Order: sequence, then structure tokens, then C-alpha cells
Amino acid sequence: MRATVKPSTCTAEEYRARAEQGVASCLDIVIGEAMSDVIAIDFDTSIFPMDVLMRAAHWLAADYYIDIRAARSTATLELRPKRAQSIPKDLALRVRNSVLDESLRAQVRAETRGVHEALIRAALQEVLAGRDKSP
Amino acid sequence: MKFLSSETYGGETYRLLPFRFRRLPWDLDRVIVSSAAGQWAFLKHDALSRCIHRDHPSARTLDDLESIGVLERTPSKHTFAPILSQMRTRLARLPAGPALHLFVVSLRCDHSCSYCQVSRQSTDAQQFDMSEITATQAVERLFDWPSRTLTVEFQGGEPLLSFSRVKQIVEAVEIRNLAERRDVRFVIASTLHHLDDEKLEFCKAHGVQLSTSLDGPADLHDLNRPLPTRDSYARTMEGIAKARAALGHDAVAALTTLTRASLSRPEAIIDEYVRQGFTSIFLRPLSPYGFARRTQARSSYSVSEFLAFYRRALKHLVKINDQGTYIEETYAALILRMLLTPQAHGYVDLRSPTGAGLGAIVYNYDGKVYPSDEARMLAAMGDDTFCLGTVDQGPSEWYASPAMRTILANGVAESTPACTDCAYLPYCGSDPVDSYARSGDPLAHRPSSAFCQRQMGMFDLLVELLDQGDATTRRVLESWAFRLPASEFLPYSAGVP
Repeated sequence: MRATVKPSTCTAEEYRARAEQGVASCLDIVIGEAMSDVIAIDFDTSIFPMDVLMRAAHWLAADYYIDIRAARSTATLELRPKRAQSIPKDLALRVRNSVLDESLRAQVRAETRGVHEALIRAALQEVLAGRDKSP
Repeated sequence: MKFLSSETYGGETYRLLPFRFRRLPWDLDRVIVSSAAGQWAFLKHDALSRCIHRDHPSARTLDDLESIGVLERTPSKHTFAPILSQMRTRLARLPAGPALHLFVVSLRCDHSCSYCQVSRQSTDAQQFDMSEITATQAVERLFDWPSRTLTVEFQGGEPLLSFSRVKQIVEAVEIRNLAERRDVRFVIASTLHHLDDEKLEFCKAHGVQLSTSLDGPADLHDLNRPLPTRDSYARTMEGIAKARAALGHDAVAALTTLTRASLSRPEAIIDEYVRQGFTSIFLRPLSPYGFARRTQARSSYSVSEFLAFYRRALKHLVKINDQGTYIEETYAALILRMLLTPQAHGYVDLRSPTGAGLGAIVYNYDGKVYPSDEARMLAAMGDDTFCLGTVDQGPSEWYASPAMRTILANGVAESTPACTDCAYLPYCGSDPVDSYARSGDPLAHRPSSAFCQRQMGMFDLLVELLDQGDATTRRVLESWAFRLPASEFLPYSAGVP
């Protein structure tokens, strides 16, 4: 599986125009002077559902203010640094990695949920049984 | 760790078991994978992805992941045994109730430390001493708990300024324990400045251990812990010497608290501990309570500054251990024991479900009861959110309190957003009181929290050293996990002096 994320650049004006339309058609890293503290990345929601994007955003929110906009089959993550700093050069890669990893986690979660719950139930039962037997 | 890539595992089916993973910050193409039992391995991200997608993972990958309980090829009850065992270990402490019981016998103290977390009072303010009747009730409550092991720790202020209360409590516990037959341990947390022969004789007769604060060499200690007489370090040294002479070398432990002034001097702080013959050092960052909050701008620092200090400190500790002197960093050793051995730990600040109220209870001088030292520090600042009740009530009422319900609702890492997916979850804990103290929210946004950032930073650093460190570094870290001198770890040994 590969993300449909393709880093490219655009001007601040182009970015603002796209933002006003509420959707972006591909991934963009904004390098325009006036908007150098913003990065916007589009994801195909048929590959990366909103739940996956939200989970990735939850982690990224430690360092960035995040807007998520959805339109048709695309969702855009827009990140602004919380602290006065320039955007790391590899931020697009890190965001993509984060979303890919959340996608993997979602798959593992779906596949192991039953086992996980059964294990917790069994562990609790064993602990409580041990308590009842103790003097 | 190397994996075969050419050999694929055609056709065999397997089932994934619950696990978590994290990309290694120093190598984004690899991950650390941890099973629900806390066993772990390094792996290529691509190999993990192929395993999850059933996209021809190599036999070696499947072997390795099966060996740490991440998948099973042949359904068997044995696969679940270690996972259940680990989960049971984490939960087993719950029915026993708190084992650590803190008695705050007085808030009086003669120091004026800028980072004091408990809002100490002047030495003549006896209204901040625990009364005899409160002490009697607190001892009764101590034995209301089912735990077979009980640690009674005297806190302050300076407990030695109210030593008659300490004596009353120790003697009352011993009398009651003649019938109860619990395993009881006594500890006094003190500057040791007020130790005299009479007090030492009592400690010796009743097996009382001592814990003190040592912040580094004389100038740093005196800066952090000022006295009008400017001789805090000298008096601490005198107290340590007296206590060791009377009670034995190992009857005194020491802790350090790190201020901004400490951050540039990890080597000097560690060297002081070595010079004083300690075999462990606990490099504790500041907590946001009491006077520490009021002097935050002057004495506090960021998590990243602390982690930079900590990295430098570990490097120095490795060097000292490699030269033949065993000294471990307490927190690192705790984490390494979880990573490298099947041992559980009893440290209340790193538990899930939280240790607040479940692992520890505080009986304050005024008869109020709190789930942790941090909760009573908050109360000293005027915020009684986490007061469980009073000593004339009992554990059932305390556990039914709104404070305890808040703690239980927010104190399980396994059900906390972000923590649920963290590869370090099997080794981490939850601290809703700290979260509330820092953000006003007992749950808060974990990835932004100082607790999470510090924990992640320390886990990452130790895992990085296990992965990338040289043979000496890995040998020393393993020696801490097993509490043995580094020279006994031959696999990594290369000319140990």
C-alpha cells in the first residue's frame, strides 16, 4: 500500500485560493513567504479513512495546530507549528509515515480485538479468583 | 538485529495477536514492536507491514514475531500464557490495595528550598504538626487495607522535627502488628540535620531506614537547599555519616532534585554520589507543585532540556560503571528491568492502573487523606480536588469519593487515547493527578503532556542505547537490569578493568 501523497510546492496565493475552495486536489507543501508556517497534505479517504487520519492528527497535535477538511473522497490535513519554528523539511514524510502507521494499527486492531478483550477478561477473572482465595 | 529477506514463507497461515509498534526516531525504516506481554523486538518497517498484509513475510520475521507473542501459527493455549501472566501481574496489585503509606507528621522545616513542593512552614508553627489522635486513627486505617506488605514512610516538612509523633506511630504499628503479622517496613524521608543519638537508637531498635536529599556537590546542594547558616551540605554529610555509623551503610538512601542550576552539571552530581559511596542515583526532574510552581521561571526547564541532561548523565554513568564502580540511575534501571527481565516493579508513579490511591495513600498532618504525595501538594496550594476524605472514615468511603472516581476514570493507560497505541505502554503508567496539576485536566492530551514527552524521551533514549550503543554501554545497561556489576556481563565485556 502506498499513500497518494506527492509533495509539491505552490505559492501562498495558490494555497489560499485552494483553501477558499475547501479542497485540494493533491498534496502541497506551502513555501510561499506569507504562509511559510503552514503545510497541507491531501489523503484519499478510500485508502485512509477519517478515523485513521484523526488518530494520526491526535499525535501530531503535540507540535502542530491541525485543521482537517473533508470533501468527496479527499481529506486535507493542514498543520501549523505551535511554537515559533520553521516547518521541518521532512514533515511531509513524517505525516505520511504517521498516517500509514495508523492505517496498519487500525488493521491490527480490527484483527485482534476479540483476542484482546478475551485476554483482559481472563486476566481479570484470574486476579479476582486469586483474591477470593487469599486469606 | 538482522533478518533474512530472501526467504519467504509461502502459504502458511497465522493469526495476529494484540501488539503495538513505534518507528525508531533514529531510523525511520525500522520499528520497535511490543507484544501485549511486553516482549519486544526491532524490525524493518517493511517486514512488519508485509506481515500484517500477509504479503509474503519471511520465515525469519514470522519466527521472531511468534517468539515475542505477536502472532501464532499454531493455535495453542501456551501462546497466551505469557501474555496472561503479564496482564495478571499488572492487575494483581489491585486486590491487595496500597502498600505504600505516607504519614505527613509535620509541615515544619528549617530549609527554604526554592523548589519545595509541599509549602513548608516555619519551625515554630506547631499547628502544622499531626496530632496524637490523628496519628492513632491513621494507624487504625493502615491495617484496614489488605496488603500483606506495608511500607510506612514519614514525610514532611521535616519529620525529625516531630519525632515524638514518629515514635508514637512506629510503636503503635508494631503493637498492632503483633496480631496482624504483616511485613512492615519503616522509612523516614529527612534532611538528617536533626539526627541525634537518641533518634538513631530508636531507628536502630525498630529497623527504621532513612532517605535523604543530596543535590550534588556542596555549592549546588547549598544553592538548591538554602539554610540561613549556609551549611546544608555539611550538615547532610554529617547526618549521612552518623546514620551509616549507627545503622549500617545501606540504611541510608539519597535522592536528587534537579533545578535549572543542576542541568549543566550532571557529571559533578554523579561524581558526588560516587564519592559518598551510593550505588544508585535518582535523577528526578522538578514537579510543578508548591514553591516549585512559584519559582518556575527561575528554577524550571523544558522536557527537552531535561532529556539532554539525562543523556549526558547516562553517558557519564556508563563511563564510571565501565571503570569498575557500580552505580545505577534508578529510573533507567526500573525501565531496563521491565524491558530486559520478566520482573515487575513496585514503583507507584509508573503503574497502570495508576498508583494514586491504588498503590499509595497519604495521611496528612491535618487528618485529611490523599491518593498521592502530589495530591496533598496540590491541596497545600489550595486545590483539594483529590482529597479522598479523612482518617476517621475508611477505605470504602475513600474509594467511593468523587476524587477516587476521577482518578479511576482517568488512570488507566490502556484506555487512554494515544497510550492505547503506544509501543511503550506495557512499561509505562498513568498519573491523572500530575496531568491535572499541569493542565487542569486529569486526562488531557497525552502527546502534549510533559509526562508523556518525558516518558517517551526516556524510553526512546534507553532503547536507542540498546540498539545503537557500543558494547560497553549495552553491557552496563544490562548490568543495571540484573543488578549485577557490569564486569559480570561477559557477552559485551571487552577488557573490563
